[in-house]
Amino acid sequence: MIPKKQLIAGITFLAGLYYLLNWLLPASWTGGKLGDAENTVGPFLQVVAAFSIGLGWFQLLAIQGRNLTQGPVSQRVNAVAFHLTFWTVLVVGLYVNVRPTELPNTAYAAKLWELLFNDVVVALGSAVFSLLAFFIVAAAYRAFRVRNLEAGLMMAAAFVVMLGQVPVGGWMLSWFPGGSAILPKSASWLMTVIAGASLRAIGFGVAVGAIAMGLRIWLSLERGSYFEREA
Amino acid sequence: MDLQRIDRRVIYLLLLFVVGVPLLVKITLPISRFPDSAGIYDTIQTLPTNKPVIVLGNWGGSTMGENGPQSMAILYHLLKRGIPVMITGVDQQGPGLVEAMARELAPKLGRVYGKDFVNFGYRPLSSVTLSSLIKNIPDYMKKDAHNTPVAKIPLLRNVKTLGDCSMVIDISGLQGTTEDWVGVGQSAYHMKMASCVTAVGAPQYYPLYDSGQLVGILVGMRGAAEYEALVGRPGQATRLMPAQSGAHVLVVVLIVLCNLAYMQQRKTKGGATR
Repeated sequence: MIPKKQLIAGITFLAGLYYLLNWLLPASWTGGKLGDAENTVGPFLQVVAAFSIGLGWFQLLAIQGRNLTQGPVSQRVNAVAFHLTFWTVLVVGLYVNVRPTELPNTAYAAKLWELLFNDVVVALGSAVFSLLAFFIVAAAYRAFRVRNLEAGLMMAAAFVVMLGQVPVGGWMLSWFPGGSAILPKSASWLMTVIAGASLRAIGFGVAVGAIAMGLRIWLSLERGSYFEREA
Repeated sequence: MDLQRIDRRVIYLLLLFVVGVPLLVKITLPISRFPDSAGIYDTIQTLPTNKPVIVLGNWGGSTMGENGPQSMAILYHLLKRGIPVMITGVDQQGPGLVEAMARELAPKLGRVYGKDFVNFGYRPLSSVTLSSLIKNIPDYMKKDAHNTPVAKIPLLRNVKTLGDCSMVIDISGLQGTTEDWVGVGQSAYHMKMASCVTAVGAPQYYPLYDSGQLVGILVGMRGAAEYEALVGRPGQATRLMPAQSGAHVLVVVLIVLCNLAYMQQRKTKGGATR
């Protein structure tokens, strides 16, 4: 029987080898066959990703199931909310999208699905994200202290970008000819030249690191709790 | 009053006020024009009307405030010019939301689903699956988001590879989606690309814009407002810019006040120790 670790290492190596050869070898050398196989090989990734989503489901259900039966009151309330929303969305979603043909597609079910997805999930996402604005303003106020020259430069750049990105920045200096363009142009210069250059430098570093990381994963040299335990 | 220790609830109320008032009272401020927004507009103006543009709805409810008006302005421009639009994305919510916007605009502009725009829905397009898609779009997509086979979609009649599309516009609240398309799609087919991103995620795209790999970037709501001005259709972003201006000014004022108090305190302490 093939040990699990060797099996995973073998599949990972073969998958990596395929994409490496497909990327490096000219199509004329392989008659284009490697490239043509991409539509067969590519969907494997989606299948693996689907399995990982399934595993996440089971894990979430197991944790929330345990919280429901054994947890303290606060965790039970959360677990009830989780199960209520999870099963409602799952049942309605399956009914509307993949129901058996003998079941009618009622307008109510479709409306309920639309309500759950567009009017609840999307609206909740917007609401939660908008709360960040309050925390960011409070955090910027508390944390931004000009203790040295570098902090002073950073604050000046932040002010130029913040005010240059909104109409009020142009309006503030519009009292003299050409003044309305000063902050927007300065903000644009800071973003394109200063921030762009530093991000490009960071990008090079990250890319070199990604190559090293990719090689380690491809050749299964990566050490971690999973591999150590499974060995 | 210690300006370094303003209660956070006071700050929350101030923010609510400066954001809320411009939403209730009509305030008009001039919209600036950055070259990064104009780059997208100028490119779309020159696109042929017989080749589709891929619009990636890589956003959801969380970034709707910024990506929503961007999508609306871009779709309006594309559909008004009669450029076919193919919608897809790696966010479960985005493609459906973008399609809803296209359906809202379509009757006013005389466009119909299937011929002028089509939605392929959520697709897990990582750099690996993307390389499959770009070589054979109909074979990879197979059906649209409403289960219509690609053979029955008129828009796809002359589309085989990514080379048959004129441009890719990534409207994204996610990290790395534009890089995937630049690395895999643009390197193979050299098509034009643009990115519409949240203000907080924008800096990482400037190197791509600076190198010419992106024809332009729409940055947050500011970019959406500029685009609305460019297409001559002031919308949600234009209305919301005074609110955003208020929030930015509040942050600047609070930081300045806090630092003035901090400097005063340092001066006093320094004097006391001497």
